[in-house]
Amino acid sequence: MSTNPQPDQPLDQYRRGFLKKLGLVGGAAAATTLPAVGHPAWGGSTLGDAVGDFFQSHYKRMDPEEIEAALGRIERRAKKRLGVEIQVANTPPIPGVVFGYAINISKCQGYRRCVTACVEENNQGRDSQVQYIRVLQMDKGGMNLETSEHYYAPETVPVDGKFYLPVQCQQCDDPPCVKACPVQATWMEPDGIVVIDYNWCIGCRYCMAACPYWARHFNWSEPQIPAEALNPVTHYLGNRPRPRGVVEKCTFCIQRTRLGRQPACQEACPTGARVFGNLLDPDSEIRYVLENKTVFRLKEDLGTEPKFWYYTDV
Amino acid sequence: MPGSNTRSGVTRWPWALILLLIGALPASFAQAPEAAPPAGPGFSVLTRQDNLVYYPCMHCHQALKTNASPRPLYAPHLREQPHGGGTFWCLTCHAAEDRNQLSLLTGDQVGFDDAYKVCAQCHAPRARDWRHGGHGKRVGNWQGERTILGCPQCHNPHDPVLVPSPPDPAPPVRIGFPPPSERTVKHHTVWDTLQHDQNGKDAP
Repeated sequence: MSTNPQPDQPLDQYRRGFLKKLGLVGGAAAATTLPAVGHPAWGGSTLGDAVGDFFQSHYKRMDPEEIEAALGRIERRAKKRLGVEIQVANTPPIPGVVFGYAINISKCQGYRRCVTACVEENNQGRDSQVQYIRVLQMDKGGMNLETSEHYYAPETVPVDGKFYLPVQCQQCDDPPCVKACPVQATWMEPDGIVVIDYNWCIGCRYCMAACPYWARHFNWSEPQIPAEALNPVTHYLGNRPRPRGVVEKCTFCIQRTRLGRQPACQEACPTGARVFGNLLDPDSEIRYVLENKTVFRLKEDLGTEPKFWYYTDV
Repeated sequence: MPGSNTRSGVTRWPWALILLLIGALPASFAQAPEAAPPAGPGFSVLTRQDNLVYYPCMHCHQALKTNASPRPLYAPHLREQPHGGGTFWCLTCHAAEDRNQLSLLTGDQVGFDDAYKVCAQCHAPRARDWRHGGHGKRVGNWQGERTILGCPQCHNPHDPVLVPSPPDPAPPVRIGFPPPSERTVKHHTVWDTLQHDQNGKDAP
């Protein structure tokens, strides 16, 4: 069969034949290649769920029924794709609560227990580099972040002459990441937590460039978590299984703290260096620390108003 | 002008001003408010007495005569008591007659679950922080009923300094990157440059 029109062949016949062949080839290609993609068809969803995901609106624009449907889709997808029964909650913020965090850097010994607990609680990929908490090993007598080391691995900590500065999302009250997002996929909730709608995020990573604390992380690949290690208690804005190509961040363990539980990092800290509570409650521990201890905020001069303080015993 | 009148008044009667200040001094001392700690929320301390291996102590001590003289001790007691650098003896904190109790300096006795009251006698600022949440570990919820760990849950009362322990593994290195020890660049940071400019000599 020749690919060029023959001199005795009318052009419309050639064209018809060409289109026919094209359709055959295309159909065959579609039939052979589609099932060969790594994940089941529609990314592990039914066709209805895939369509529902595609037409899902912004979190703040969805009415309760639409959110309920979205939660169901996430649960079914996790069941089909990871084989785990998860519960995705949509717990609303507690009225009259704004969360604040304080860390006693005199007490932090650099054990990294918070990092481990955070990864397990928030379903971060075990193979990726995504860790919400970065414990910086700093030289005593200065606050030079440039010479800090966060890959430190000595036999025992603390090392002489060093102190430890855990850095995570500072939940800024004037968050530059929110301003940078071109699609408003990230915003500050009424309880002060900056959250992301992973379904709305387009993965442009502008927010990562805007964040002065390196608190946002990009999923270059789909987070890989062993099925038995997946935390099934999740929140839509928090630790639900994330797709590839979205940004994620610390949410003060929104799935725990909105139920009154401590964040996983505070629960795991063996030294009690972490203080968490309601900034609006005058009797809370966080308010005692802010009013009675010498506190500072990281890169305060940038004016992002972090709701995250560091203090020392002195 | 009223302003110039006032100024001339002060220059004319400086001694009156000084007298006034001297008179006001004791008053200001008397009024200097002692920074009162805010009334903290109620709390409960995680119990520890049931986990003590040798408790109740009176199992043995009811048969033993109280010997108040400092001497080397043998198992199950510690041989040395580093806390206090040798100034303390057992009976500083443990009640002499009822060994199931601790004793305060006032002579009152408290149980092992209330050991924080013994510690607070010397470590008052730390105890105040602990009472209000600036020191020590809270367990359970961040709101509502507050349960905290007592001092001996973290600190060995006989040797309170925490010993160093191994950290959890370091973060993974991005695929394709050399290990961090090899890629640490020994460049002059902005900080070093600033110091160099100020000192006029090379930064280390």
